Amino acid sequence: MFENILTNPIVAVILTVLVCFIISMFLPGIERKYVHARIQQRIGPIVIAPGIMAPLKFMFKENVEVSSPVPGLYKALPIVCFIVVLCVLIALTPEAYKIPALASLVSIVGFLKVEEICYVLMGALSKSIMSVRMPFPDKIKGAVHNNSNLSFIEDISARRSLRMITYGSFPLYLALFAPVTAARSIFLGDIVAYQQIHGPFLFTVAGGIAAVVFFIGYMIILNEYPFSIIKAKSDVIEGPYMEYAAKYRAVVVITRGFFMFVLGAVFSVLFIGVPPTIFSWGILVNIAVALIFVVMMGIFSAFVPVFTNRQLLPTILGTTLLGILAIVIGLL
Amino acid sequence: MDEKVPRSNIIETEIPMGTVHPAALEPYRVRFFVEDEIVQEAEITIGVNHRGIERIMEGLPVEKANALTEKICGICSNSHIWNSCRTAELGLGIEITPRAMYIRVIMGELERLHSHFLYLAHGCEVLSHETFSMRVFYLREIVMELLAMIGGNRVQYGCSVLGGVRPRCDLDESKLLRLKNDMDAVEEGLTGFVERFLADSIVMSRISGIGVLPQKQAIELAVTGPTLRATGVARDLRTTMFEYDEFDFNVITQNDGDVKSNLIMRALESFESIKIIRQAIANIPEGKVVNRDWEMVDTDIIESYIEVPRGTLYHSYALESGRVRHCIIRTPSMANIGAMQYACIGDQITDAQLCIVQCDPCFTCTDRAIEIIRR
Amino acid sequence: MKFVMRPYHMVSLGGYIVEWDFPYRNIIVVNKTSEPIKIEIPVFHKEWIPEHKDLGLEVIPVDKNDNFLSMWKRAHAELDKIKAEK
Repeated sequence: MFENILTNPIVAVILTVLVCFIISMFLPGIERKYVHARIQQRIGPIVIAPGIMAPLKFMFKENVEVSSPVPGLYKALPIVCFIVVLCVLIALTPEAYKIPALASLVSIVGFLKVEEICYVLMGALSKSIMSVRMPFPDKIKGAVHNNSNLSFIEDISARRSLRMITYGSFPLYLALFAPVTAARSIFLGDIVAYQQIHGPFLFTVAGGIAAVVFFIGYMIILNEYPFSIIKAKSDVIEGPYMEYAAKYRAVVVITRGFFMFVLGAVFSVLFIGVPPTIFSWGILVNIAVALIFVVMMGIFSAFVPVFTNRQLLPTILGTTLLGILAIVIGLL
Repeated sequence: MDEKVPRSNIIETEIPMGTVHPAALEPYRVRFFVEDEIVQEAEITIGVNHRGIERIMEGLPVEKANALTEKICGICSNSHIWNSCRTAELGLGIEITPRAMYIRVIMGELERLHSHFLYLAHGCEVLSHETFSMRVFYLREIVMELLAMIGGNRVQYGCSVLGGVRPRCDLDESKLLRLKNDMDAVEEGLTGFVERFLADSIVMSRISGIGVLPQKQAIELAVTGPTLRATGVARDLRTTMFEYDEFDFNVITQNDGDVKSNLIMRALESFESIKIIRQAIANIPEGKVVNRDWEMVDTDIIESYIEVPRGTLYHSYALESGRVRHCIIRTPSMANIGAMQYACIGDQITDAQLCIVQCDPCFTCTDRAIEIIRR
Repeated sequence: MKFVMRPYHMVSLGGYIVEWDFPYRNIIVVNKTSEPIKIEIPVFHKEWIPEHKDLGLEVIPVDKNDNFLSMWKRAHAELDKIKAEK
């Protein structure tokens, strides 16, 4: 009977998701403690602090009421983001391959787009005290431009998020479609099956190039330094997340760690052909890939300053061209 | 380009920031007028800190007033008490003992090192380069410990007194040896940092040509210190201060007046400070550290200018029955911050705070002179 | 750079003056109005005085030989009187 329960696809997916979720909570701590802190020659936080203790702490904090024209929607957005990431992970599990509409690249891209749109909405709906609402006598006698239009700093963040949707995340989507050139199918089941027969796509020329592009796209979509222009501390501070406090902030923190793991799993499925499932030792590959990505991202982000539009545009353009090259090579 | 002028005709929107902002650390309000994320005009407003120290000093005994000046700033506290004592010493004709003069120079240069390191670390922090920032903070820690060794505190050392320095700030052989060894460590660490920093092409692309302040405009706006020297003007008051007569050092200049020049300026100037400290350690004269042989008399208004880490510091007051009258303190940041609202014109808003902090602003120094009467 | 003069407040500019080409040692600025007013700092030239008088501020220049403290107290007393009337 116990075996029957375990082989039930829904139970299998739930168990896989749970294991992945628990592991994902360690990732931010690993990045902070074993990468950033080591590089910066400091002790760093205890490994469970950023991913587990911080959200727990936030859960029990008193919430600060947000200043948003649509507070309900604004507060729901982190939960939407979490659900989107959850859906991506479910789509990656072998049990989901029986539902082609879910386990396809189109749905993965769709989910990721929803995630990006959430950033735009968060930015547009946040009206924090850090700029316009600060009680300071700006427009008074003796001041310049007493009739100017006012923008919140989160408005800039929303505009930047919109730009990132249009071109910033392009490298990631190109890299996602690179394995299609080999497998000739957009369905994850076919892509995994192809790689289990022909070996991982990663170890082809096109796969190698696409993996580099994927990694850069991974950092862009995670808003990690140096691609964190939508939440650059030097101007927009926390950007879209500015007003999230208490349990909402906890969801934001949890989602970030979970998203790191899930993107690693996306890579495992598309480039190595190993889907996440607790019924196979292959899940260790998923964990290893997630860890490698986190460590690489930590190293990369520790040695670069945040990019402004001046550096961001050429970098994204270059990466996009690499992505196109990977697809062309794959097609040839 | 001689001048940067506001481009008011192409303003799309206004984005105010502050008085609380993580890139600024200190309270000020800035209104950026932008067109497609490019700053066309800026208005900086200060005055959020109010302590009224100049007014409190009015009528205080000069010794008390001197001690109070140290509270103006947490970073350059030694500079304020040094210049305040110096003002009275100039007015009263007090001769400072040679050993005290050397100790004051050592303290001044250590303070320059810690201020410049703080600047470099803060600059890297605003660039969001935490690793570089942390590495400079480690170097600064050595200097802070040295200051604590001499003054007893990491800030607010109370070193200068009328006629010299406090006896507890005297330097014995063991302290001089530690100073010498730590200067070697600081130099080695700083050399490593500067080499890595300059070799980092991504960092260089972030800071080259950003926040340019033209030389002519810098002079017109009374910019001082390293911020002025970063525009190519070799003006350093240490070359005219009698305290530095016996020291050999170079006046560092850079040419571009941008963030890169300002950062390099401070880094190179730190090597000169190390050079001065080493000379002071090697040649420190024996003798007393304070001259108590002087009399209090009334004076006219006395003025004293010294070169502190961020530029020219001006202290001025008259003495009447041993009390301070009509006190004025002008800090270097006052003019420097004003100039930065021009420096950020034409740059991305992501760089705007960087353009402002490139002048090494100290708002606690600058804001101190306000008297607010509550309604 | 600006500095906000709050309603019914006074300030002695002192260190906000660049003394190179300025004929006075200090300036006492009094805002006797009920609205905040922004003033321009640093002060470089004497044209600053009429420009700021036009904004509705009382500007009292203090010379090197003036008694700053008595001038300050006098201005303070006047301001207190106006505040009491309001």
